[in-house]
Amino acid sequence: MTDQGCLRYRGLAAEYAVTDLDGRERVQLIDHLQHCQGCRRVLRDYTEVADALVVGLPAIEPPAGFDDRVLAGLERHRRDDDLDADTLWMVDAVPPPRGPHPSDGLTVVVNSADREDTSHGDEVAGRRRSGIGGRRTALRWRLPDPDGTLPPPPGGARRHRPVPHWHRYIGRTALIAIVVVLGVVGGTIGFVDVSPPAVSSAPLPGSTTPPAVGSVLHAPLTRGPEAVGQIYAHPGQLPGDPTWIYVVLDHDRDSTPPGAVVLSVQLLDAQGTTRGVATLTVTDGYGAWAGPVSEDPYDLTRAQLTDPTGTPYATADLADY
Amino acid sequence: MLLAGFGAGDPTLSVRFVRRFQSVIFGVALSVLGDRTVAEDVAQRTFEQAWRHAATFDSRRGSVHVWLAGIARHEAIDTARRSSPTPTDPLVLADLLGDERGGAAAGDPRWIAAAAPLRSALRTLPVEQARAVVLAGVHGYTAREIADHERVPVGTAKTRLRTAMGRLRERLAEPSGEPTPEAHRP
Repeated sequence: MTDQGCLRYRGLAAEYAVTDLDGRERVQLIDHLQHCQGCRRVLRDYTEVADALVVGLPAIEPPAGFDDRVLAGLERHRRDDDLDADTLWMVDAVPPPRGPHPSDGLTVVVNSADREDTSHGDEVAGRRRSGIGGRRTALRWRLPDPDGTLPPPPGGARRHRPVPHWHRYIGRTALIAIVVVLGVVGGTIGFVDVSPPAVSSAPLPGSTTPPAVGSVLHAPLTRGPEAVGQIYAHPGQLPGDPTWIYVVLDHDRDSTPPGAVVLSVQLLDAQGTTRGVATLTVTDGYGAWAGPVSEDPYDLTRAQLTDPTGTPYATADLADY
Repeated sequence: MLLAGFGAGDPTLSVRFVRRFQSVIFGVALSVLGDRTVAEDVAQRTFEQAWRHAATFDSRRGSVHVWLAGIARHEAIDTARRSSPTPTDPLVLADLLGDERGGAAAGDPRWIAAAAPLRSALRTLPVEQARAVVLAGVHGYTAREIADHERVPVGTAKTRLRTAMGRLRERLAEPSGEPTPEAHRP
């Protein structure tokens, strides 16, 4: 049933569907809609009319090269967002209360001084890896997210250690810094195994220097339904360059065996080949490894961490098609 | 799937997404603005907005096409208001109300087919009502701006807009899209 009040509000709804109302009318209409299902239905109909007006506008091809310009612009935004995140990255100088940490005894502050070089390098990487007509990216390998930050630490807030800044604001340059830190200091401190790949012992070209530029892919590591870490990959810049892989496990120690667990890091490719690339020591739920591998990250389908008995400890799907 | 891949930065799906929707977005922007250079800027910003907000898209509330067209319209209207505080004469009326052989969409069979029910419905309206609804629904004019543009009292502009919307709602709800006997255009 429609009363005079509804007739008035339906007039306002017709107007509201296509343009602005003044503040008083808008408040009155919204207040009425909250308790009048009939008028809500009418507003939906009017909204469909409004949509039809816009969708009914002619589709017109833009000038040649428009798609290239759009995609190049989006790549610049991704890069800028990632660089903005880089400027926020800092590793605490204060040692964490429990367990080893990659930043123990170190202070690393990354600023945007490398912005120019990074920008150039990313374009090079974009053309080779991500450009139009380029190779198909495995969907679950994600480029850094549009907001320039990576997902929050898996498993929610840690009870045994505060979430460090670096975990929330890791960016491309930050990853590179971590790789450097791990590579230089890791063996000395003893919390990370940077031994050569288990199968291929031949040195990889360029493997002594981590990449300075380029895009970073990442995917979550899960243990059953629980997210327990991340795996990142930095594709090489040029043919023959190694891929730099960074694996971090960081989850609740209550759900892990006590003490240290030594895990094997294995990568699976689309041909079904499995290759062990490193061992990783996990203490109280935390462990990290970084190093170069010969695999092309775009060919990888899965990463898995297995315990000494070969039982999968955590996995990451790197492709879903 | 295309939108998800676009939002995630998948290069192949991004190319397909842009190429699939670029004519829709550019068409909306050009219809509102009437300037190809400015319309291209707006269309590019529309894709950027879509990329940033891809995760918020809810298919239950409409198609990607409608979602993108809405973003393009808002971007174009914002641009038009920034560059010219005074509403300018809309250019899209000829396309929506006129002959298929004229206007910016000349001869585009996809648009002619897609827009046929709407054009048919608009043609049943008195021209001043059709103008009011296009000024609001496409160009984002408020009732007061329509009144200024048409040199009529605000109340008259509101009546034209509301009446037109009511008639379009009835006409677009009809299965055949044929005009009803009482519908007329003076």
